Formats: sequence, structure tokens, C-alpha cells
Amino acid sequence: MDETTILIVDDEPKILRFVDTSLRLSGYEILTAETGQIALDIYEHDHPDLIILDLGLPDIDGLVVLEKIRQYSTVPVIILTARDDEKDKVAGLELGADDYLTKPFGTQELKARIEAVLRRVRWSPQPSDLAEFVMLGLQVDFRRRRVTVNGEEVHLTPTEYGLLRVLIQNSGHVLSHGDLLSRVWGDEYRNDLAILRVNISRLRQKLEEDPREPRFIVTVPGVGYTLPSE
Amino acid sequence: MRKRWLTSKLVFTIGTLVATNVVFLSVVSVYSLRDPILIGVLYACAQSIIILVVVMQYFSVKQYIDRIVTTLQSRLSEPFLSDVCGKRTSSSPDPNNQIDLLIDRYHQQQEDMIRRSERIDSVNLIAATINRTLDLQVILDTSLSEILRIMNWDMGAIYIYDDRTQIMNMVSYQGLTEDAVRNSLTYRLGEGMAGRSAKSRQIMVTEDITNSPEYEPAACADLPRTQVTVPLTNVAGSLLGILQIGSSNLRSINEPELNLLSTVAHQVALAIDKAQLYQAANQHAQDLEKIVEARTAELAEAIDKLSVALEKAQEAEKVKSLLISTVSHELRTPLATIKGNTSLLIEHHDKLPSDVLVQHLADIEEETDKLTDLISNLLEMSRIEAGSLHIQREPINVIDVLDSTLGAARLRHPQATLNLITPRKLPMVYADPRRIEQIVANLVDNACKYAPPQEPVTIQAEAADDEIKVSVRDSGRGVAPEHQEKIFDRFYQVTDPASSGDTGRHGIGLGLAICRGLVEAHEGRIWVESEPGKGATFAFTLPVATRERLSSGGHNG
Repeated sequence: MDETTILIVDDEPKILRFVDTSLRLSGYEILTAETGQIALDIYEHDHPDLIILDLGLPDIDGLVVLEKIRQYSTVPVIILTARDDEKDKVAGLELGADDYLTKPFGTQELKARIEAVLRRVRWSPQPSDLAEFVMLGLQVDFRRRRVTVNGEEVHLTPTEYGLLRVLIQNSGHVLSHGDLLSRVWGDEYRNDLAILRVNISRLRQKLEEDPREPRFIVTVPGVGYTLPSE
Repeated sequence: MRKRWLTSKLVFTIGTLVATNVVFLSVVSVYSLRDPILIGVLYACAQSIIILVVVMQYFSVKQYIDRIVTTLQSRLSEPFLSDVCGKRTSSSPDPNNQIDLLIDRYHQQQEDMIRRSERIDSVNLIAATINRTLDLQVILDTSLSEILRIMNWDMGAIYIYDDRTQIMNMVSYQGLTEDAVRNSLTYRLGEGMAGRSAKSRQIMVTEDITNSPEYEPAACADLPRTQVTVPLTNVAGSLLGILQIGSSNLRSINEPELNLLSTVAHQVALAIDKAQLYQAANQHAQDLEKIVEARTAELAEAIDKLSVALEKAQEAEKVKSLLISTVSHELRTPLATIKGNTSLLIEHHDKLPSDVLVQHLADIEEETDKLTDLISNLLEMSRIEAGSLHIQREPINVIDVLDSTLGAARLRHPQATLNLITPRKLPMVYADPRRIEQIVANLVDNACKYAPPQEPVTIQAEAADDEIKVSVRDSGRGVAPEHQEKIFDRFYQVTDPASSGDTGRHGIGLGLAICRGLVEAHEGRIWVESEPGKGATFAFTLPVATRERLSSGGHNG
């Protein structure tokens, strides 16, 4: 496996220090930034494989940094927040964060999250997988990891792509919230409904003509979601 | 004409009689007729002519009389005429004269008929006006002008009675000069003929004002000579006003005219009554509307008060949640370092070189201290807000307190230059020395944080009136005017990107709030004077210890 580079953005040097020490010992290459601007500069220059982004930055709001990154990249992002506030979390997920961690957190938890996110990105095609899926205007080329709607390419984050892939693999079946969470994010996320809802919503925004009346990702109230077979 | 005609008939008859006899006698004498037969024949002829003429005249007159009698008889059903006929018959036995009178009366009656029909039209017009409009003024004006027109009187006025003031006010007039109007705008009940008529509810007629005992030629110059006053009452008999008509010439008024006037007065009274009822209903509606408006306003006010209360509650709730989220955030940040480092050390302590290990342990220690300070400040703030701050006041010398405070501050900030300026002697203040030290230490720490390293921080104490003023001046970046007031509020953060950097992390925003709480607990004031970029001077005052203060506060803590 190639060396994975992780960019850590936090304005508190002591947090950078222990995250840096801990992740280096786990074999990651680490870049650090204390401000949003530095983070954006480093991202453009070094293209890290994953970003750990604190939302409470002194210069640019972490959410703005995330938004800017998402304009041209689907790089996995884990947001860090010192607030209990659901709003921050949901705002981050809506802007395309792949996961979040609330301070304080242990180094093992951090590593588990990093690995889970990277797993989603590095989802390698399996022999049993379909080569291509076509339904209505939606077309997914699993070999080239390319999604188009009515011929136009849609850029999905690794998480969104993983979610769509699981739904397609089980098309015609209802997948419970817990099933989806553990299959896409990992067992430790089984109860994290917020992260699922936000990603379903983002996926609908990108794929559906009318996200309020979805054709591909249909809600089964109280149970989960399904991608109906034609 | 008819007389002459009858006379001519009579003259003609007598003339014929005389002429025929004259002609007979002349013929007898001229021709010296002796023959008795011839004379007898001629006499017979003459008498025959006379008889013929008389008979002819008789029939002519008889036929004429018959025709008149027939015509009159056909009208005899009218009582007035039969009455007149009777009267005439008794007073004047002359049949010719009687016939003339009858004919005169007949024509007069025909005129009366026309007038009566006109009057009915007038009353109808008035009634129609009353029905058509609710505008009382239009009704009154129309009624007045119609009654004057039909009765052919030249002045008139209508008054409406005000029950509250017992005064009748002129509301419509016609034919009056300005002076007359001015002189008769109001009548008190019982005053003058109008007032008496109103009071007695009786029609009053002044046939000639010059005969009235109240008549004053000067005052009554423009007033009518003859005047009729009709009281206006409603069905219940309550007085509504009066209707007056007048004439500048001497006039008489007959029964039918009075009846007409009464009828019109009744209509006008109905109109006034109706209008007043309408007005009362309208007034009532307006009152109701006002009540509704007032209630609505009260309700709106209540809603305003409620929303103010709600806003305050929401504000308090917001402050509370801000407090919780701020505190939570401020607690989580050092905890993140502590937990992160601890978990790192648990996992990898054996793999870390000792200098790295020490660095991580030092981080843990530093953040633990930060947490401890934070918790102390939070407790202090909550004590200030609860009013349960423990203050042990005693008479103290501020100079001593400042000396010891600066001694400790120099240890905390070895690189800073701290200057103390005080007069040789200062009045004693009645304060808790540890709290004063806490205030000054906080201000000095802030100053050292913001002042450039080589620039001094000056601490000064001086007496001003019956206060001691202590100030801490730095030459840092200062405080913008919009923050100078709020900077003493708890959790207030000056968000300024330029402040980021190695000292950029703001505290929780409690230091100055605690200072203010402590100063105010000593009956002092605290403020900041600053121009951005030119440093800031934080100053507070403490009241000088007086005998009263010492005795009043001597026993409490």
C-alpha cells in the first residue's frame, strides 16, 4: 500500500502534536495546518489522501474550508468539532464531510474513523460485482467508478459512491438503516442515523430530478431505503 | 254683467209696453177713429204684442236661471258651498246677488282646490325627501323651503332642542338677514315666543310683532312682522325642536294653513327623530368601535408585553445556551488535548523517545491547569451573578495592595516591564485586599498579553474626589469603540482576525466580567479608555473609606 498522507487542520498546537505523533506511529504521512488558509494551500500543493478538519479555525470557518475543498475534490474529510451542537455536525455532513469526531477523542477512535473512511474510498471491485448498472437516466460504470445522470457525469464522494453501490447491489430489496450504516461506514456506525440521512439527501440532490419525489432512492418509512428494481 | 243683462230685459219689456200703447193711442187720435170695432181690434193687437214680448222675456230669464241653478245644484254636494249658500241665503235675500256670490265662491273654491293639491304635493315632496335621505340638514332645508313656498311666507327657521343644555339651536333658516340669524341663533326653553311654544308644546301665532309687549323696534328690525311657531315633538311627546315661519308683511293665517303647517311640522319632527335615532345608533356603533379599538390596543399591548417577556426569556435562554455551548467548547478543547495525549501515551508510551514523552506530558499538565482556572472562573462568575460573592472588607491602603500584586505579576511575566506610579499617600479604602489584587492581576495579565514585549505596562493609583482610581495602561492594539462597553460582558469575545497568532487564543471571556463584578461589589466603576492602535487604559474606582461606610459595613463579610 502506498503511504497515505493525512492533513490535520486545528488551531490548537497541542492537538496537532498528539494527533501527529499518534498517526505517524500508525504509519501515516502527516501534514499539519493551524489556519484554514494554510490548510487550503497545503491541500492544493500536496493533495493529501484524507483531511482531518477542525471547524473552529481562527481565520476561515472550517465549514467554508470544507466547501472550498468540495468544489473541486471528493477527498475524504473527517471534521473535528468541540461543540455538541448537532447543527455543526449536520452542516459539515451536508457540505460533504465523510465523518466527524467530537472533542475530546482518543487516538484509537481517531484511527478507527480514518480507516473506515479510507476503506470506503478503496472499495475495490469484486468479481461478483456488476460491470455496469443502468436504470432510467442513471448509469453507473463500476469499473471506471463513473456515475452519469442523463449522460452528464456526477461527482460523488467516496461515501456517497459507496452508499449508491450498496443500494444498487441490493436493488429490489429494502435495506435497514443499520444495514446500510454497517455496510457503508462500518459496524461502529450502526446507530448513526444522522450521517446516513445526510448522505442519502446529498445523493438524491445529485441523482434525482426531483429530490422530493425520488425514483432511485426510495424511503421505506421506519425501516430504511431501497432502490426499486425496474 | 249678468245684472246689466237682466236690467236690459226689464227695460226692453217695459219699453215695449209703453211704446205699443203710445203707438195705439197715436193711431186712434191722428186718424180720429170713432169706429169702436176698429178701435177694439187695434187695442187687441197692441195688447197682444205686449203680452208676446213679456212672455218671451219671461222665458228667456227663466231659462237662464234654470241653467245656473242646475249648475249649482251639481256642486251642492260640497259642504263648504252649501254652507256658503245657506249663509248667503239668510243674509242676503237678493237672488241675483246670491248667484254672483255663488259664482265667485265657486271660482275661489277651484283655486283652493288647486292650492290644496299643491300643498299635498309639497307635503309629499317633504315626505319623499325624508325617506330618500338620512342627511338631516337636507331634510330640514327642503322642508323649510317647501313650506315657505307653498304658504307663500318669506322667512322661516328650524331649531333643534338640546335636552342637555335646554337650548334650542337654529339648524336651518331661510329668508333671514345675517343680523336676524345672529340674533336668533339660540332660544332657551321658555324664553321668548319660540321658547314658550316649545315649553308648552303649543302652536303660537304672533299676528303682529309690533303689538307684542317684548317688541323693540331696534332689536326687531329684521324680524318678521307676523310669526308662527310650531313645536316639534316625537311620538312620545318629547320636544325635538321648533319650526318657525314668518312674514315681513302683516299676514293672517287660517285654519287650513295651520293644519298644513302642523302636518309639515309633524313630518319634520319625524325626520329629526329618525335622524337622531340614526345618529344615536351611529354614535353607539362608533362607541362600540372605539371600545373594540381600545380592547384591540390593550390586546396588542398585552401581546407586545408578552413578546417582550418572551424575547427576554428567549434572550435568557439564548444566553444560557450560549453559556453552555461556550463552556462546553472551552472545556472540550483542553480535554481533547488531555484525552488525546493520554490515549496516545497508553498506546505508544514504550515507543516514544523520552523528550517527546515529556512534551506530551507537559501538554497534559498545562491543559489541566487551564481547565482548573476555567472552572474557578466559572464558579466565581456564578457567585457574582448569584450575589453570593464572598468579600471580606477592611480598611486598606491601595498602594500596599498594588505593590504586592506587581511583585507576583513580575514573576508571571518576567519579560514585561511593569511600572507603578502612586502618590506618596492615599486615603484608605474599605475593600477586600485579595479581591483588589485579583482585579489588578487580571488587568495586568491582559495588558502583558496585548502589549508589545519591549513596551512598559503602567499601573497608576490616584485620589479623585472621594474615590481612588486605579488604572492599568498598555500600548497594545487597543479596544475598538464598539467593544468598549461590551468587553466587560461575560463570554464576550472580540472577534478580530488580527489577534490570531501565538497569543491569539481568546479566553472564555470571563476575566473582565469577573473584574466588573468585583468592582461593583465594592461600589466602584470600571471602564476602558482606548483608541484602536494606541493602547488601552483599563481603570476602576474604589470609594474612599468613610466613618459611615465603616460602621454600616463593619459586621458583614
